[in-house]
Amino acid sequence: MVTNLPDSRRIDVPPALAVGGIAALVIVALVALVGWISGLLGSEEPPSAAPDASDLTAGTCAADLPQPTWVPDGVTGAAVECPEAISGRIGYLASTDHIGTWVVYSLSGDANAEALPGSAPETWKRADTDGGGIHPAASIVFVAYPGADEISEELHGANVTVDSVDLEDGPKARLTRVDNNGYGPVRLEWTDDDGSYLLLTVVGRTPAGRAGPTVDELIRMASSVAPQG
Amino acid sequence: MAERSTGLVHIAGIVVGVALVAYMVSFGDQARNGWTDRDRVGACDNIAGDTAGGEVLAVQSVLWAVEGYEPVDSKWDRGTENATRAFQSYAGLPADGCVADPTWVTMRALAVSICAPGHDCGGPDHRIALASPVEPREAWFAAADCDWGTYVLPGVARSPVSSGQTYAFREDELEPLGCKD
Repeated sequence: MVTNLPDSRRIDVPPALAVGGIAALVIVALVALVGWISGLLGSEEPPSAAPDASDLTAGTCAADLPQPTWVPDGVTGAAVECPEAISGRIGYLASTDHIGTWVVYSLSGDANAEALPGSAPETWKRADTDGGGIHPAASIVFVAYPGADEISEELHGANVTVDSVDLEDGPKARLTRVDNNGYGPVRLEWTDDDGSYLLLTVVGRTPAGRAGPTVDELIRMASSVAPQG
Repeated sequence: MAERSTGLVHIAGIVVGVALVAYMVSFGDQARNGWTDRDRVGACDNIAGDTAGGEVLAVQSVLWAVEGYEPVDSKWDRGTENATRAFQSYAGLPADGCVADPTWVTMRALAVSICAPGHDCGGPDHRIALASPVEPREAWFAAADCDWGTYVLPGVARSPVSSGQTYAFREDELEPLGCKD
């Protein structure tokens, strides 16, 4: 009995094509390996921490002062005024030893932007003056008085409310609001072992909405004040 | 016995009197510090407010710092009224152009001590300075034992106001700040 096996057909691959294919496979493997390794390395990086707000005063006279390490998201920058500069503005302050250092934080957003007509006030339109359409830029003022152990005298008035609030892991602060139908100035003042501090803002009424930070944000800023240096 | 009772009544009267005077002095300090003892200034409905003098100068100085109002000349006019209305509206107050207690207190709350509380740095001791993208604007004030004063910077003061002078918050008059014994 004879079994007929099918013909085994041999495929002849040109050597040049084989070399090219192998080279391509090696390149793809290398690229995949590099990607895999870099992915591994990236996954070992620690999660990015929230930026420290004290970086905003780096290189200024406020850099070594206790100051907020947290600010609201809308804060775009900080302008620092040193005691010597403040004294120089007026010319005859007797001493700079007890003058506070000011950090003025600017805020983003339409409601927080300065809206001034640029014309003489007698020409301002009644709709603008009475509708909140003419207003300053919203800001947060922080003042640090190093070595001081007092806060300012308490304000009084029919539209003034004064409360004591607990700062996180810290002292109590005096919260003063001039409450004009939910708007108006807000002051937060406290002392610790290093000095006396004030945070001031205005909750403003504008056609674009409420201007300034919330009271809770101001308290969180105060809670984040930490010694520097 | 009757004489002794009379003496006790006298002592009680003296104690009550001293306490009453102390309370009144304390209340006066609070009012002066909070600017709630000020006259009405500006366009007030039935009772005319001050239209010139030291208190108008104080209001205009605040308006300069907040809104860039000028001229700061201690004279109330249509422009001052417009700027006051804008300030009131932004701060949540009724925009009526009359600077009475609610507006005075709102303005006072913006003033920050230059010197550490409890210390004297020898000059104007309070300042209003908010963020401004164009130019720095600020108002300076001094708190004396008897009254508050406004110090107007050069370039901001307009006649009859002089720069380098601290003017008392007086009604009608434009007088240098000074306490009389």
